[in-house]
Amino acid sequence: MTAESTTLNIALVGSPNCGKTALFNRLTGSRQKVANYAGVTVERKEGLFNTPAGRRVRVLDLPGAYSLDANSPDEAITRDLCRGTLAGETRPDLLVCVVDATNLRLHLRFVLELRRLGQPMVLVLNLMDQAKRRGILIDTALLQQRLGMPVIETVAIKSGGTQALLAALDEEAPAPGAVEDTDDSDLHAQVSALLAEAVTMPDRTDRLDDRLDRWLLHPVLGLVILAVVMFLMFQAVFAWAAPVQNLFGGGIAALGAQVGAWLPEGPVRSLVQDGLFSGLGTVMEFLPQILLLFAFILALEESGYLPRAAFLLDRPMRASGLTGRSFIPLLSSFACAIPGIMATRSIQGPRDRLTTILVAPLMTCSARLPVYTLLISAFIPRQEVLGVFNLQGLVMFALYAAGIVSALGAAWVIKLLRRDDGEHVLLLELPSYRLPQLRDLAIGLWERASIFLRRVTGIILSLTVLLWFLSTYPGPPEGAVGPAIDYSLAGRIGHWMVPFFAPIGFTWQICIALIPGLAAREVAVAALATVYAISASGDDAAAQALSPLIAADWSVATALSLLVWYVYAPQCLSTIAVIKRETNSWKQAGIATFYLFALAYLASFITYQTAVAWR
Amino acid sequence: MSALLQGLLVAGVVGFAAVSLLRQLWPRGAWQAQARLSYALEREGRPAWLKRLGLALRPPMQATQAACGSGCSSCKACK
Repeated sequence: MTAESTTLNIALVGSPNCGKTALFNRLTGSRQKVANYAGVTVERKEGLFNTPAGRRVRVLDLPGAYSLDANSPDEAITRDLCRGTLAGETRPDLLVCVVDATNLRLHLRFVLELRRLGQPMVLVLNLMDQAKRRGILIDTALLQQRLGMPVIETVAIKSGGTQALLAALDEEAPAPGAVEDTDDSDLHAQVSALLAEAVTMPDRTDRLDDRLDRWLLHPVLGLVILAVVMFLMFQAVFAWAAPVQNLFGGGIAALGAQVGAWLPEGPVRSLVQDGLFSGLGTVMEFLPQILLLFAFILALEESGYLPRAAFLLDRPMRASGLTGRSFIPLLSSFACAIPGIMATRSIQGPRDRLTTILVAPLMTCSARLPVYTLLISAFIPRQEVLGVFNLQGLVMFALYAAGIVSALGAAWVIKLLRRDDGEHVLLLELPSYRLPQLRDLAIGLWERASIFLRRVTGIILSLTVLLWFLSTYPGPPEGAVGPAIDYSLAGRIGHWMVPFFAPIGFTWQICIALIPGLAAREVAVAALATVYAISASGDDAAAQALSPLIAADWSVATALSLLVWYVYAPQCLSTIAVIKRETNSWKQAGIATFYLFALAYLASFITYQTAVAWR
Repeated sequence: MSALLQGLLVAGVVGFAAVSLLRQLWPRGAWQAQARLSYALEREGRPAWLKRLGLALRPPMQATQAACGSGCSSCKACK
C-alpha cells in the first residue's frame, strides 16, 4: 500500500501489562485526546500520527482485556469495538494486537480469539528486548505463517523501537481472515502447539523477577518493604516539594499584589485579591506535592510493583472482609474516590464490591492533600526525627495510614454485620519488573496536572468567587465595630454552625470552610484563605500567607481535630452521588454518609477533648 | 472605575460563577431551567430581541449524564 490521503483507523488491542499504552504514547506523543465512550465511564484514548510515508493514522488505545468474554465494562467496550458493534464507533480498518513477548502463553490465547473475528489484523510482539535478554527465541516467520497475519517485533519504550510497525502500516493492509467457529478448549490446544513450534523459552519466568519476588513477595519481609516504600514516598512528598511550593506561593503572592495595585479601590480589587489570589492561589501552591505523589504512584505502577502489592495485601485484606482485588480500586481512591468506586466494577462478588465502595471514601484522596499540608505546615514543627526522618512527613504518613487502617476496620465491621464466611479467590497476573520510562511518567503527570488545573479553573474557581461574595455581602452597618465578615452571610452561617461544632473545637471560620468543601475538599483551604483575607484589618495582614495566620489563631487541639475530621469526613457530594449511582440505592448512599459523618465527629471529638485535657 | 461599573462587573462574575457551579453540580436541573427560560423568552408575542435572546439561551439537546456533574474531573466523565 502506498501513502494515501485517507486516514487509516487502527485499534490497539491486547491484555493488560503488554505495553500497549507505552506503544500508544510512543506512536502519538502528545497528540492524544482522552474522553469517555458514549454512555459509560470507560476512558477512550485516541491519537493521531503520520507514518514515514506520510500516511495519516488515527489510533484508538482500547482498554486491556484477557478475553472477548467480557467480565467488566472495559472488556465489553473492547469486545464490541473489535466486533464493530459499539454504538457511535466505526469498525477499525486494522486491529493491531499487542502481546508481551515474554508472556506468550497467556497472551496468545486472546490473539487466537481475536483472529476468529475475521478482521484485518497484525500481531505486535512487544517487549522484544526483554524477551531476548531472557533468551526467549521466537520464530516470527513461522508464527506469521501459522497465524496467517503479519507478526512485527517492537520495543515500545525505545526510540525507534516501533519502526517496523510504522513500516508495516505503510504496506498493504492484510486481508481479513475467515470467521472461525472453534471451541475455547481448541484455543488452549492451539496455543500449546504454537508455543511448541515457534517459541524456545529457557525458563517460564525471568530470573531477575524470581530473585526480586523472593524478597518483595515474602509474606513478612514483603509487607515490611511495602510499608517502607509507602513511608519513603510520603517523606519525599513533603521534603522535596517544599522548595517548589514556596517558589509557587511567593510568585502567586507577588503577582496578586501587583495586580491589586493596578486595580482601583473597591469590590473588584477585593474580588481579585481576597477571592482569586488568596483563595485560588492557596490551592495552586499544592500542585507540586500532588504531582510528586503521582510521580511515585505512576513509577510504582510502571515498574510492575503495584500488582505485587495487591498480591501481598490479599491476606491482610481478607482478614478484614476484602480481597486483593479491592486493592486497585482502593489505590485509585488515593487520587479520587470516584474513579476508585467506579473501578469496583471489576470485583465480581456483589458483597465484596459493596464493602469496597463503602470504605473507598476513607482512602486519602488527593483533594485532602492541600488541607493536610496546610495544617501540618502550620502546627507541626519542621524537625528531624532520628536524624533521618522529617516530622512533618511522618505526620502525613500517619494520616494516610489512619485512612487505610480505618478502611480495613470499617470493612471488618461490615463483614461482621453481614456474617460473611465465604471464600475469596484472587487471580492476578504479575508482570515482569521494568524500569519506569521518563516519557510515560511525563505524559501521566501532564494528565494529572491538567485534571488539577481543570478543577482549579472550574469548580474551585466558581466556589471561591461565590464564597468571596457570601463573605463580603451584606457589608457592615454604619457604626459597626467588629470585622466586616461578621455581618456577611458567610459570617452569620459560620456563627450559627459553631454550637454544633464547638465540642470538636471548630471555629466559625472552619465552619464556613466546611460548606464549600462539600463540593470539593480542597476548596476548604481556598475558603479559609478568603475568609482570613477578608477578616484582616489591613492590607499587610491580608497579604500574609494562610499558614502563619491559622497558626496564630487556632489551638493545636483544633488543628488536630480538623486533621482527624478530614480523615473521615464524607465531605464530597460527588462521591455520595457516585455511590448512589453505582449501588443504585439511596439507602447505601445514606449509610455511607451517616457512618462517615458519625466516625468523623466521634474521632474529632475524642482527639480534641484529649488534646485539651493534656494541654 | 465608577462604583456602578464595579458593581455590575462583580455581579456578572458572581452570576457566571453561580451558573457554572449549578451546571457542574446539578447538570440536569440546570439544563431544564435553561430550557424553560429560553422557551419562555421565545413565546409568541415577545419582542424580537427577547426571542433572539431566548434562542441564544436554548441549551444543547442532550443534558450531561446524570450524577456525573461532580466536578471531580478525575475520570473525565463530566467532560
